[in-house]
Amino acid sequence: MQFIRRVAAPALLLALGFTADGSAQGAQLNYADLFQLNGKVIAKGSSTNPVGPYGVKTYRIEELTLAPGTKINVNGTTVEALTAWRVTIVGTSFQVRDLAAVISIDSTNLLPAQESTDQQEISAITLTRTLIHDGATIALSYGEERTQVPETVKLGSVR
Amino acid sequence: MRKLLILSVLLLVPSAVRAADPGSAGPLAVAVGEYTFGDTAFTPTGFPGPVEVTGRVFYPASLSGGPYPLLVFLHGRHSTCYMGTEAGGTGFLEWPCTAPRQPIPSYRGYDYVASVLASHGYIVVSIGANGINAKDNLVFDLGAQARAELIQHHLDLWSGFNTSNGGPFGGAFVGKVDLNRVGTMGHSRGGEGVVRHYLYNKSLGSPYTVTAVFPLAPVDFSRPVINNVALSVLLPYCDGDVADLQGVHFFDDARYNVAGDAAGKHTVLVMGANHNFYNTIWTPEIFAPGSVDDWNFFVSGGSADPHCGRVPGNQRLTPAQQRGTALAYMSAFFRTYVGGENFAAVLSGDAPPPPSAQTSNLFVSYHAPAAARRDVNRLLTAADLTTNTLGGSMFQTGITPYDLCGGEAPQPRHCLPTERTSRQPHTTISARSRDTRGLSQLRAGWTETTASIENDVPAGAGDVTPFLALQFRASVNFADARNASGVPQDLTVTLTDRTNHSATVRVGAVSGSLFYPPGEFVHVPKVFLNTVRIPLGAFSGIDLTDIATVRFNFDRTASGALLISDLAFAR
Repeated sequence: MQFIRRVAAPALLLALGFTADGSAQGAQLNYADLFQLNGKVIAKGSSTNPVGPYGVKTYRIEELTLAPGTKINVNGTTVEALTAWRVTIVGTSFQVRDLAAVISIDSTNLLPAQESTDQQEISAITLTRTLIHDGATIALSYGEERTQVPETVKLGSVR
Repeated sequence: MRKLLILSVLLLVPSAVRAADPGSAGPLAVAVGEYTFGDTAFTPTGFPGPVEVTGRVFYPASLSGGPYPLLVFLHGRHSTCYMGTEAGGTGFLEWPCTAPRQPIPSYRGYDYVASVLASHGYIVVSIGANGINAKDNLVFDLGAQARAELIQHHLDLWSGFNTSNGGPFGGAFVGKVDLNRVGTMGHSRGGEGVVRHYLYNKSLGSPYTVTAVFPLAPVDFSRPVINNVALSVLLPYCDGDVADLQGVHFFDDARYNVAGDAAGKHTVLVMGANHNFYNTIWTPEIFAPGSVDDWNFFVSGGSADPHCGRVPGNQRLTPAQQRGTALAYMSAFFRTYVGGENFAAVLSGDAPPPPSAQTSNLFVSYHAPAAARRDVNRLLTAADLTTNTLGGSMFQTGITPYDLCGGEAPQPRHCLPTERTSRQPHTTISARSRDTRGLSQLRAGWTETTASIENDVPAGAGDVTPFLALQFRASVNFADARNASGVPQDLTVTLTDRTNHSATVRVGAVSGSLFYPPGEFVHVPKVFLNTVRIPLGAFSGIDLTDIATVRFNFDRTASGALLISDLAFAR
């Protein structure tokens, strides 16, 4: 994911009409584009203790600021949004599986999750601000297997 | 830019007399080659990244006997790139691979089947789909349509190889590819891919005639249904990735979906098999980067399971044994439904697993084509509990519960309400079709050996001589304490003719399907309905031209509980 953000993201932003700070100018985005935008980290944990088969350790939440009028194609439906949030679980190794990965906050499933290039992170997007709150629990599921991030969300935890 | 890599090697296959074992090597010498048009040569409709057009092909070294049928294999989702060595490198997920990372060749993982089928006169192409794997979580259907379009793209290429000189093979395949005899196999997400491909090809006017579809340990996220094409779904009991065996929906959903369905349908439940080892490139001992033993890695505590885990006495198959099951049943399936040979007995379970399967611990289900079947009771709605599919009466004595579960509302969604759904694959929920129900099953239990269930066969429907067997699907309900843990169930089945002569067969004498599901951890035990198939020849001394009743007698054990579906006479 790091490579994508450093090299590929600026090119995508220019192509889509984004400004240098990542805000868009009324663009039409696909869901995949939201994984390439720069975001502002609004919360992150610090645990280094791996949990479960993927070595889940901690989390990071980034706020993605979109320009007014930005439309996003999500699951074949176009929605308009000003802000999106990218929720990332940091672990040891997210082995690529055939079953679909689902990230949830307080048992509400986010949009589809995607592993990072190095398979040490997995991220998903939500357009629902109310999910992002202090004390929220983040979990990763494959079917009925569920691994909870050992820390709860703490907004303002970024220095 | 078109790139070309061809590696041709002659594999000398012993010229042996063709054996009855469908997985044994055939008489033809085999050649292998690869072709690629580049890592970014194709972009499926609306897909967020490019996909390679790369294939590995096994084919008869001499094509003079052609045209030969074409089989297309498609791997599933896995790491796409690696760095380091094949013995100990690290996997990555991106496409194309960033140097010095190299592609993981998942498409080479089925050579063990492709080479054997080629020796019997098939052109077998295994295609790469790393570009889809790198981005498919970002599209709603998780890549099924992209995979379908990729298969179609390769078929278009092969249509070209069949008609034009040039291309990676020159004129070698001109006139040698029979695109009216095509079979597809897809593993994991590739499994839903081949099902979706069948529908996609059909939507294009069926430019290619696909006669057989084999999903291997497949996902079924969106519940596409295919009919009038032979279907076989192989499901590994110890699958630690697609642990809910959701691919059984392909079979269940298709059974009565269209009237007059002309195609046979099969499942093969392989005990002790996991998800990954069907692909050699996903087998750590052979190719380590990105590979794990999915049961022991993904299932928390799973390594302690007495059947699927690592404890002494476990029933896990070795990777080679596991591949044997795919070789045997994939070969039997394609050679029957694409090649026109007859391995029906293997596929229906009338014959035991052939030696190439390397295990006998597997179970099959068979749903015959409509014209080869007379349904006694489909057990789909509550009305079927009193009046069966033939219009005869159905009644019970001493059975409780006696209800249907798992099918359409108002049936309860799951048959084992307190068990996780991965333990009841027939009703597991599909990620992209969450409201679609599963298999309707009769939930039946007994505590007296006088308990019975009887279906009457109306006059005029009692001539069963066109059929070979009476069959039904059943599973021991492990969640019901009336079944003794670890002990197989049993019952007898009585056919009575209209002159009141009866014959009775003990199920346990002809079928192992009533085994007690093994395992203790997380996703096991599982209920899985396998076919009990009783040869009609076993019912002696009765008039098979005029059968009046079919009765299940729960007289072999003091108590028990089963899930039952699909009672029929069948060829």
